[in-house]
Amino acid sequence: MERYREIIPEWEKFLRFCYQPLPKTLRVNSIKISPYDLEEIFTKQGWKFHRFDFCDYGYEIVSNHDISKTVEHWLGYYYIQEASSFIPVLVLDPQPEEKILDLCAAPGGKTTFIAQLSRNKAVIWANDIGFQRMRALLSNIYRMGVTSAVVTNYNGLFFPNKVKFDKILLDAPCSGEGNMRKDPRRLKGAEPGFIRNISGIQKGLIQRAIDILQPGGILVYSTCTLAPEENEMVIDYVINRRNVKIEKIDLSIPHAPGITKWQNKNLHSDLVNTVRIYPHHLNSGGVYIAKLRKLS
Amino acid sequence: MQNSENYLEEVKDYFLRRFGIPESFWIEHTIFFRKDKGWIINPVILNLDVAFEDKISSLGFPFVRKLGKSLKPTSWGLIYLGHRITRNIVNLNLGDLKEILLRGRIIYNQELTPGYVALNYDGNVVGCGFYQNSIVEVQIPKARRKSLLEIIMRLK
Repeated sequence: MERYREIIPEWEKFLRFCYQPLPKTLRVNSIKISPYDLEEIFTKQGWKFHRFDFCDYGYEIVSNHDISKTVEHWLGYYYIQEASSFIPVLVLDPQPEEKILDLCAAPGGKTTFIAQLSRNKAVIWANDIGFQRMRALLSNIYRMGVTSAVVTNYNGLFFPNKVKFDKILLDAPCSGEGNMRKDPRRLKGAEPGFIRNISGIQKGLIQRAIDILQPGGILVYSTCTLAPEENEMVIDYVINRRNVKIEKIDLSIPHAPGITKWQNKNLHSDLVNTVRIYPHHLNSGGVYIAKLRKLS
Repeated sequence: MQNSENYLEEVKDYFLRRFGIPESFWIEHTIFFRKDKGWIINPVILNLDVAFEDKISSLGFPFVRKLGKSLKPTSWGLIYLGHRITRNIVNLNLGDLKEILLRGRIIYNQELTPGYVALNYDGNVVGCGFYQNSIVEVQIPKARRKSLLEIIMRLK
């Protein structure tokens, strides 16, 4: 993590949060139940909770309950989700009738949130590769009552160019450094070789995503890592190879801007309009988010 | 993609008669059949390009199966319908639910027409059962049954 000292504001605060356990957070699934009705159930069961400031569907459970072992969770009334995982979908802003691709969808937390925000009325392609990952994705889609998703299992690098999408979420596979609070082994940072390899895959995926986006369409690129090689440098790479522009992300929550210089290399100045969310911002994990519009 | 209108009418009729699901429910839902499995989807999905069909693992979620000439609702489907179900509901207390999950069946002495029923616990539909001769048999898939049992064993 030390290599990020220069780019992470409030470094000491950041470090302090990295060593704290994650709070218990969840998203109410309004496809099945209203936040108000679920709050009533929680209250009846003696749960103590508070709603997120930035999203009416997000809750932190502050009482000592196992939120993964309840009938309500089993029924799909809520999804256990970190606060930082809400943000890429909120930036995507899915609407009914839109054709939306979630290119690396498993285990389905963001797919089911896309379905929820579009009131189960968008057409969502939820894609992933690999048998185990698909099982988790399917199980969550069924549990959450998503009727607007088609699940496919293409290698994202070769997703067919047959439909042009209005919006694409590329929550890319990454080194996962932002998950250090779930997995303390990540506190030492990812291996350089791994970062190099995965950034190559990310560059391939983002180019494919832009190719299957319709002109004017929106691509939200996100990772749960801190490495600029997997974040700003991927966007910097693609902006020089595809006709896209970086859109400014307006967020009311605390965050840091994307960086425009890394290890003596100057990056595109518009990367300042991308977003870095660190653990101390939302008392959550770390994420990076960029929003691109395809020009032609 | 093509839907099967004949099957759809059969499904609508079955769910109206058996569970009281009104016609209005189908404004925003339809059923797409692949072989004997009926998937509940938003009708907008029917506009998909057929070119994707070979790699599609799932559409919406499994809602009903065709078994010979009859239909069998899935537990996913009945849970989704939830409070919309007005008929053929079997209300279970905690003891009943534990027993049906453990043993696969319970004795149920209330008068019902034989056929599939919605298992209801604490105001929530938790899955599908089958009623016949004063016996209700659980139809919830094994893995889901096991995980629900683990949860309710922790309840007092």
